[in-house]
Amino acid sequence: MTLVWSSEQILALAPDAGSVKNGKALATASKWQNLGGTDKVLWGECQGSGKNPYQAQIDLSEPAFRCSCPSRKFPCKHGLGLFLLNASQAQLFTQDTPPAWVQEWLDKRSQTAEKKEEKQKAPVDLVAQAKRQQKRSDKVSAGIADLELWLQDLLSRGLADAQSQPYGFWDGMAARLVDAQAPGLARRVRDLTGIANSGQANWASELLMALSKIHLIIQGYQRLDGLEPGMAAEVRSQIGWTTSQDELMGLYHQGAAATQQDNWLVMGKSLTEEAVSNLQTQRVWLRGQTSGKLGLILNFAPRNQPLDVSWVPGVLVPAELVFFPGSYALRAIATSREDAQQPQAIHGDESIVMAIDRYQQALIQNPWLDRFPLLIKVTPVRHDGQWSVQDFQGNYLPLELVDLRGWQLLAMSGGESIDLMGEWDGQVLRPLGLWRDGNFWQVNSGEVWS
Amino acid sequence: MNAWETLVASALVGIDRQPPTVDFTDPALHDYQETLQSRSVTQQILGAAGLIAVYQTVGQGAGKTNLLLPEVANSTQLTCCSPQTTQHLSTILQENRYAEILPELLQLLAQAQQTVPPDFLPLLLELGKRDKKLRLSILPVLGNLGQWLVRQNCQWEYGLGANIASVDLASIQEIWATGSHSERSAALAQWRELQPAESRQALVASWKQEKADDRAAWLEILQTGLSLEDEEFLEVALVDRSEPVRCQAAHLLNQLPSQYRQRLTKLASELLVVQDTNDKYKIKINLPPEDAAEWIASGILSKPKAGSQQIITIERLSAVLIAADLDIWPPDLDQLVTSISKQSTGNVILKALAQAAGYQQRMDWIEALITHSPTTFHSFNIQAFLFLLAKNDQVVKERLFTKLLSTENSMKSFMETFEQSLAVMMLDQYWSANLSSLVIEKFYQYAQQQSYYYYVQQLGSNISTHLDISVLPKLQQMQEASAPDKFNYSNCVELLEFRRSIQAVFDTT
Repeated sequence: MTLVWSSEQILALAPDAGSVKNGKALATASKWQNLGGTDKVLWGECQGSGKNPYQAQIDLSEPAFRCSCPSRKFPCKHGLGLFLLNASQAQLFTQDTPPAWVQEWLDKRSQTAEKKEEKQKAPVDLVAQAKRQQKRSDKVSAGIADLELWLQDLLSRGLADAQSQPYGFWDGMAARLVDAQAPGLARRVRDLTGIANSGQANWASELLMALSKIHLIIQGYQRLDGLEPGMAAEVRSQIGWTTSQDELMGLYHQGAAATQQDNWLVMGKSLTEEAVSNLQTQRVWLRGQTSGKLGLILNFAPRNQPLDVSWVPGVLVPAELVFFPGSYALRAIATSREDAQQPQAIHGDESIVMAIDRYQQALIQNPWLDRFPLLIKVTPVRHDGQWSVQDFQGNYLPLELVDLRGWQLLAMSGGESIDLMGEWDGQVLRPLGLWRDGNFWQVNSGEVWS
Repeated sequence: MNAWETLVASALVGIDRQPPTVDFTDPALHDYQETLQSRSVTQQILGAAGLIAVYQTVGQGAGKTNLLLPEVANSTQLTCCSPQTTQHLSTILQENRYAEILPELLQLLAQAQQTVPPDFLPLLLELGKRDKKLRLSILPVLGNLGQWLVRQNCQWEYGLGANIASVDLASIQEIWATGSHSERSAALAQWRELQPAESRQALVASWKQEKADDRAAWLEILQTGLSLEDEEFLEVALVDRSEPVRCQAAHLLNQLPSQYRQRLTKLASELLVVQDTNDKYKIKINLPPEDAAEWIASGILSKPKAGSQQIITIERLSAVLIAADLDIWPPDLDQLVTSISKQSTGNVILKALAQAAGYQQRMDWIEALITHSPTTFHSFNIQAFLFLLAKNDQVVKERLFTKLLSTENSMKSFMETFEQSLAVMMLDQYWSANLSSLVIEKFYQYAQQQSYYYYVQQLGSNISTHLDISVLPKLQQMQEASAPDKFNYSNCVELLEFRRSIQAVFDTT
């Protein structure tokens, strides 16, 4: 089934609220000329303030955008306006042969993809790579030794004493770990500040739990050679030992990486922003229609910079994913993908117990798992001002969302069960999207978690 | 204290002061105890904490409740609006732009028997909670799903009024007898439309038990289907202890050829002496003393209000003139209005006569007042005009406003008249193409003179919601012709373009 893009899905691609507003304003026929489209591409010319109209085009396979306007936003208001106009008045797109400026772009995109693949297949200088890795291992080992001493000192003096320490106490250790090229551990140490100063009654319990997870990583690193490869990769990843996409593709071409071909349902997308680094992290959660396997596409960008918009929640993308190594491999990238499709039917877990069981199985394999995607048949309910979802057996999970969003969720359900997707952190479920009667609705549209 | 609490207590004070006791009672963890005890104290406490934390998280299931799920909503009887209309709703409700257009969009939805998408229902209901004027527009587009949602949130109780349209009389009576204040108001209004006499009897039956504010509000509902059958009850309300109730009763009685009008016509005939001298009228008023029986007998201010003697007298005189039959005055209205406007008490008399003209539906009087005393138009009672306009067709209204706006005046007078006319005209939601065209021509003239930029911008924006969209090309021309330091028409043009795109969706469907 060819994908029909809904306005909701298109607007989810907008980089900010201003682009949503301006894109909508441009989604009227009077603003456009020479509109055309095929199954693969849309194009049109929009008269702006300049002499010549802006040429906007959309490659529907991802989707990807290009416009001749000078805007740095991506997609720009013209791309969004063109896409929205197509969603509401497809009959206006009467031309069916791409003009030269559209064809040129399509050809160029195709050439770029081929070049990228060739680069990934190029042989790697193994000696230089091993030398780099050894140098880093030495730095990380020194950093971890420093961290162990710091932990020992902290526990000897007690958590009550640590709570009264200034921010520099925590940030100093985090900075030394960054220097030791262990950014994953540095992030965990930096997060300890927030727990110690949370003001919550159970702060000491939470702090001990967080410290114990750091300790587990250290223990894992010290026994790295004895661990099975997946767990060893997970420990390295937790330390901050990233595998680049090129390295992963190198492993892929050597046949040394786990892959899965499937029709991937884009279940939901969440965005978090780190106050310190101003870095945005976008999580796109996927589920294989046939394999049932879960996937996570991560995308990072500085604040106000564009993120990858090609994974649109609610659609089905036939693709081959290659997974980053790990004890419970979730993170992946696509090696190849086809045009997105409209999913025929969505089947969430029938009960909360089933969904939580999946989470527990994943946690057994990866004790550091902080978020896990759940897709469950549930009904939203509100008791004593708190929102939760309940299944047919009376099991419930608390939700984290603003009150009005809860009412919208309830309105979408009409009191019946819906297929709700959310991120579960062991305490609360953050809803990201839902399906009802085949229609998808993005629950957290435009919301950023801190 | 369990194993976890023991570890936390030790970590809190420091392992130097209180070394941890690793004592796993759970058999699943027991095997690890020996391994941990061979490690350093720091490793013991962190290792044990890690084991327990992961073990507990993995074993933690979902909560279980006995609470019942909400009833399921009936499938809605209305169809959902188009994707284009959804975009328009999103612009208004989610981006908070063109909020003034929302009633028009909701009206178009109601006429097309469409409802809004489910996720917009809470946004609409929240708006209605804050803005009472919007409620009547919101109710018809809620559909079954919206009404179901209202029942889940007591803060949206006003939405239950929508239910009444589809229920039978027995249900209405039941709601009137047992419902909350807002439910009873909605039930009475609906009942009055269906059965004016029975609904009035129901109100009479509970009249003495109701609060003063409720009595005044429910009396207002009798405006629907008002007839002489209501007179007896209104006479009771006319001597109510609450002043808002008495005023509302007088307002309703003024609209009927009632005994109240007859009494006050008789009183006015006794008070007024109209002398016809050299084609001029001279009005003389013989006021009775403050405590004269005539006031009480006529139902005017049964309890004297506080205030100076002059104010009390003016109020009483106005009340008499507003209620009295206009036929007691000489038939040459042009001459009469001209003469009255030159008298010292002329303004009071003309204001009262304008209201009387409204109540008695006398267009001849309104036209005479506008023609010969346009500058006093702004002091007329807006409500009386609204009443008059509401009961006349578009042609009559346009004639009235065309006359009013075309009268030759000084610039100061024109500015005032234009503002006052707009205030009345804007009580009507939409204007015809002809009236819209006249208004924007006059507005252009007005904006060239008015120096309060923000005020003119606001007025222009308010006008744009009433204009017929056929004037869009004319507005665009004005935008091009207007000087840069004068009114900026771009907002008006933008608003009308948005309204045109909204209407286009419904025109095609």
